[in-house]
Formats: sequence, C-alpha cells, structure tokens
Amino acid sequence: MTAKNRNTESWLDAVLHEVRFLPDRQKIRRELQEHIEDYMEDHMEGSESESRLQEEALLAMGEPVELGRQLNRQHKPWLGWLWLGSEFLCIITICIFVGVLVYGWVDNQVDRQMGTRSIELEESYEEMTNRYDAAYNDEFTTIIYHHQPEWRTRLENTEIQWRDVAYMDYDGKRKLEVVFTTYGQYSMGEHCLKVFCNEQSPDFAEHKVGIDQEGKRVGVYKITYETFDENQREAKFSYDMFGERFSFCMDLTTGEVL
Amino acid sequence: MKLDKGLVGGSTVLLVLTLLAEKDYYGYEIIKTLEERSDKTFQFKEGSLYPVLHRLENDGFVKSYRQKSENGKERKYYCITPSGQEQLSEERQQWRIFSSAVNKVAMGSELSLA
Repeated sequence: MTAKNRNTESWLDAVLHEVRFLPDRQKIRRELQEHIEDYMEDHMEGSESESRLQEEALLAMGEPVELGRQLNRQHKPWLGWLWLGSEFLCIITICIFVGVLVYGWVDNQVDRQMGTRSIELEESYEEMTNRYDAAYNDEFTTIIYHHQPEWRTRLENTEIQWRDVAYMDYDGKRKLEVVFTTYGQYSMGEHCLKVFCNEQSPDFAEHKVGIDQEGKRVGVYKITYETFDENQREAKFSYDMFGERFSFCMDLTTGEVL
Repeated sequence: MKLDKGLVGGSTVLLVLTLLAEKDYYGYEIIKTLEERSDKTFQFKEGSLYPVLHRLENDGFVKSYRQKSENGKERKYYCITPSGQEQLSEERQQWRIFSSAVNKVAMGSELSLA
C-alpha cells in the first residue's frame, strides 16, 4: 500500500472505528472515500505533490474521531438491526405468500386437468369411490376408515396422485382399497408401472385409462387387498417401473404421509 | 470573513434542503455549491456534512440512491422527499423569524447609536 492510500485508509479507519453498527460501515467508508477522491481531483492543479494534496483533503474533511462519533449518532445499532430484521421478515413473508400462490395455482391446474380434460375418467373415479361415503354403507359394507391423502409423486414425466385409502369390512372380510390417478406418459400394466402395499401385490385391480385433449394419458386405478390385517397402523406404498422402485409410508389412522 | 461555527451549524439543514429542493446532489457537489454560492462564506469541515445528510435521511426528509455522475463516476446522490419539502418550508419560516429578531435587536441599536 502506498503512503497516499495508507493515510486515507488510516483516516477512514479512525472514523469508522466510532461507528458501532457494523453493517453500515462499508457504505459510510465508500461515501467518504469518494468525497476525498473528488476533493483531490478538484484541487490537483496547483498542488505541489500528491501526498500534500492528500493531507489537505484529509484536513478539509475534519477530525476523524469526532466525525465518527457524529456518524455513530445517526447509525444506532438497535435501530439498524430492527430495520434489517424487518426487511428480512418482509422478504420471508413475500416468499411464503408467492409460494402459496404458486402452489395453489399448480394444484388447481392439476385438479382442473383431471376434472375438465377427462370428464369420463372423473366419472369413473366417482364410481370407484362413492362407496366410501358413509351414506352408502349397506348390509355388506361398513367403512372402518377412509382417508384422502392428496399426496402426489412423480415418475419421470408422469404424476401419480394418491387420492383415497379406504379400509372396510365387506361381508366379513377386511379389505384395503387404494385409489390413485396417473397423468402423463406412463400407466399401470401397459408400461410396467407396479404398485405394492407392504411389498405385496394387490389381489385385484380395476382401472380406466384415456387420452385427454392434449394427448396426455390419464388413468384412474383402484387396487384392492382382499385381506388386510386390521392391526396394521402404517403401510408402505411402493411403486416401480422398469425395476426402479420408490416408496412412501402412510399412517393409516390419520392418512398422513410420513 | 469567517463566521461563527454555531451560526453555520444551526442553518446547515436549511442550506442543504434548499439545494436539494432545486435538484439532486451528491455530497461533494453540495459542499462545492454552498461554497460557490456564498462566495466562500460557508466553508466548514466537509466531513461534517455527512452526519447531517444521514440524519435527514433517517428523518425521511431526503432519500439516497447511487448513480453515475457527469464525470462518469458512480456517486451516492440525495433527493428531497415531500416531507423534506415541508420541513424546508418550516426551516425557512423559522429563519425568517430568527433573522428578523436579530436584525431588530442588533441593527436597531446600531441605528440608534448612529
């Protein structure tokens, strides 16, 4: 560092040493440094030497410690931290708000896709699940629990929406039924998409597939486990395709994905 | 003529706000303009301008932003806010009252002596 810079840096250090709010120090340093540069540029003509000019500039700026104390009065730490904190909270709030809006929009898009692009399949879904409504309980069927997890997973470009998990007593047999929809390229069976519950293949599966207005494959599936242990409180659902397996666990008492 | 520092210090806010009401300035420009317009009557420690500017900004009377100056270098500019305009009117009013009172007392006794 040259003598010229050293003197200016020492002067600035002496000023900023008095400013207790550290985040503001850099900004203040920059502003004062720029002022000194402007002074020196303005008074360069007629000056004996650069070092003399620098001395004059620092003299014109005033006593650094006193200046630092005056600046410190305007940069109170508690106010500074309060301002930074509120800015941070504001940013977080905006991010959360935007995130919620985007999620809601995407969620709505997927729901609308299923609902408006394939009314036929939505009707199939209604048919497969209307028994879960307690009003439909008859002499054979008693719904023990029914959850709608609204859990989505992705397999490459195919979205799988896990929509219903229902456990029932059907004519003395305890059955578990799982209903899910697929939207995208892949579907069960034809594209080797397999679903398991606790590593078991279903005893029975029904489905309906179709093509929506944009040419995307849409499917509704119900898989059934004819005898399912009523003491099972958790279930692991796995799905795989071409040998690669994914899974998630669900609390069967609440429908919450763990 | 060198003025009493107290006189200058008390009117710095009025001087700075007056300039900023005309246009936006950065710190060194303010010092130079004050010097020129006052025929070098106002010459104070240049660094002491910044606590004043920062106080005005904290009070909401001015705002700052960075911009390239006429010579191409980026500088921190200050501009007056609507609150600052109101404060300037207030400061002018106070100055009128103060200077009028001083004139009555100080100049009035001179006249009577003459």
